[in-house]
Amino acid sequence: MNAEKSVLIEIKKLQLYFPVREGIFKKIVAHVKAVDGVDLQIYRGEVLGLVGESGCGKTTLGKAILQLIKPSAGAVEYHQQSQVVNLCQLNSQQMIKHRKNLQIVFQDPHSSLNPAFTIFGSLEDPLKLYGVKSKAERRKRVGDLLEAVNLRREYMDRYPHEFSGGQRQRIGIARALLVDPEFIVCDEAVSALDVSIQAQVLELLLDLRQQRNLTYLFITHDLSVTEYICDRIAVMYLGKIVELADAEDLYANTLHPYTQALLSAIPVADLDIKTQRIVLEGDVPSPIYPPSGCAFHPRCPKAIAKCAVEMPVLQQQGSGGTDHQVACHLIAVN
Amino acid sequence: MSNEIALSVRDLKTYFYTNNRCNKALNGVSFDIKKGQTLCIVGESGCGKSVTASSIMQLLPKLSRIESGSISYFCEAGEVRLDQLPRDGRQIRNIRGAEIAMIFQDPMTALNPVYTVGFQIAESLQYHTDLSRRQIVAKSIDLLREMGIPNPEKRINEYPHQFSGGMRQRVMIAIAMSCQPKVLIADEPTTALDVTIQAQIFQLMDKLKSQQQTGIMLITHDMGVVAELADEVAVMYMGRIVEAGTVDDVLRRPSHPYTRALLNSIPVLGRGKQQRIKAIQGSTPDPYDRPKGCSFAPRCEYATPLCNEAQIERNISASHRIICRRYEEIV
Repeated sequence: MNAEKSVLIEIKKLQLYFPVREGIFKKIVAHVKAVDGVDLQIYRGEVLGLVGESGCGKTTLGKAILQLIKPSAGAVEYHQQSQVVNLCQLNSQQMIKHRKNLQIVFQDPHSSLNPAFTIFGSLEDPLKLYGVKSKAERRKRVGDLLEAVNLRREYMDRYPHEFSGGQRQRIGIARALLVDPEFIVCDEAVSALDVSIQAQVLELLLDLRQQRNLTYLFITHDLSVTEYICDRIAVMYLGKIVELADAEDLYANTLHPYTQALLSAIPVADLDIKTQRIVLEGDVPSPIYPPSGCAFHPRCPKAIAKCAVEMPVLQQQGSGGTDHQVACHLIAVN
Repeated sequence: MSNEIALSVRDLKTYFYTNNRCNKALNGVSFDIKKGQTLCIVGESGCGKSVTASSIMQLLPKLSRIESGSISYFCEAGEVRLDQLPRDGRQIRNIRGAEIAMIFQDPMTALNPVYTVGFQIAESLQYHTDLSRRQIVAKSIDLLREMGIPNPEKRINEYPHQFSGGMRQRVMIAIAMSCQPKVLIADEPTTALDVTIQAQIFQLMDKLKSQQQTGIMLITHDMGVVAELADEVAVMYMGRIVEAGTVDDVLRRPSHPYTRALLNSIPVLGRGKQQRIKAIQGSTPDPYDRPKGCSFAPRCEYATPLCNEAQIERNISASHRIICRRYEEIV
């Protein structure tokens, strides 16, 4: 990345709690803290990876940025050329105006397209909404985009069941691109695909980013893919970001014990790269009752007494001027 | 001892019949599972990995048939031809679960939600051993403890929904290992799990392999898992094993164009941004209308007209075999 980075999306202390209701009066007894105080900046033109285990709040964070789920507290500031908008304060009517620029590609290509509509039927709606009145024009736009994602123009009159998983995922990408967004959330966009198809879709995403100057938030659980595609990576654990760094820096100089364990747990398809595996005990704790102090301390192999009491905050680790933030007491001590 | 063969499959053909069409799901598959070793079967979805597993276990759906070939299981009493046993006869039921056990892909659906975990573990012990009820309970608790489930005395009376995904998969392994099988078939055991949990499960399977000399057949689509766990590898494409050999053979000297393309299409952790991944063009052919010769030919960059004729299997070395006409020129 070059020196003058301009912020596109700034997330400030974002919280998203789901209430847990019980009893006949549906009294709120607790909250699932899916996203618990996240601060994050997404720069223009970068690919930011968001990784973590299932249930850590990656998808919820992605949806909260786009206001698909209303956050409980905090702010999502969208920096346009002339002004800064806090998306959390907009109502749904006002939000529609901005959705044109902020799009999402969903995880499951099999359930994200309506089986009763042709591809054109599914894809023309956003164009209608954003004022493309003539049908001929809409057909042209949809056809152009299908070609941009390496599908044939004629495919727009087919139904979703006629396509394979990889093709459907490309249709999902085409749908996100239709309204010329500048920011796309890719929610596990390649996870459901076979490896050979996965590579095709990854290449496509990188090409499109070049051509259209896109910014991606790339949500995934696959760290090998993240390393390949992302500029910066944020690691999430139980609703919080525990480490945030440039992709190369994160792999070369892993600081947080959770990230270390996560990286060591990945099987590597290369017999010459042998890592010392750190096997974590137990499962991810419940986000309803997260552990006191550092949420990772019950599983952490290096935990000290302080970890159980005090919650570490995300701090800058200035090693060589790189942007490497980590939330861990051990790092702060050293 | 370690080279003793536990299960041997020869030229197996399993076909599915639907709507008057025939899907040649397995089209001549041969491999051996050796005691105390792991055979990994890799391939993309739809290539016949899981059909291989169900053929061995005789768990194929009604509309399918083993056309030819043999599946021989070598137990103490001698050779048993699994393919010739009636599908739900007494003999196969005695073998299934006790001698050959299976771990299914999805731990969320493989356990019965209305029975306690303890009951489901006890079930196979009750059927296959003559332990008393009290011994069975004690054994079930031991099994859960071995799998690293905390507080097993209490957890044994709980239902599957009270367990997390990783714990459910460990229960599945406990059930599979309860009768100390000679062969363990694991059909994508960790695909539904997170990497940290996956590491725990692999550690467990490795322990079983070394302690009890279990022969493991691991079905996966992840080349990383192969590099990590396998002793031998078989790469499947469209119902045939296109390349097979030891891990060193296949991963260090991949010879089949498909294996090479597969290895080139995945980003490898630790190689950074400089690595170039290369997608395989096109998609897998229609299973009802398979290419006549080499099934990879339509997507293969080395294909010649010769590739559309019938293919034969050849040996590169004693352990390394391949189905490809042109491998010598490619390597």
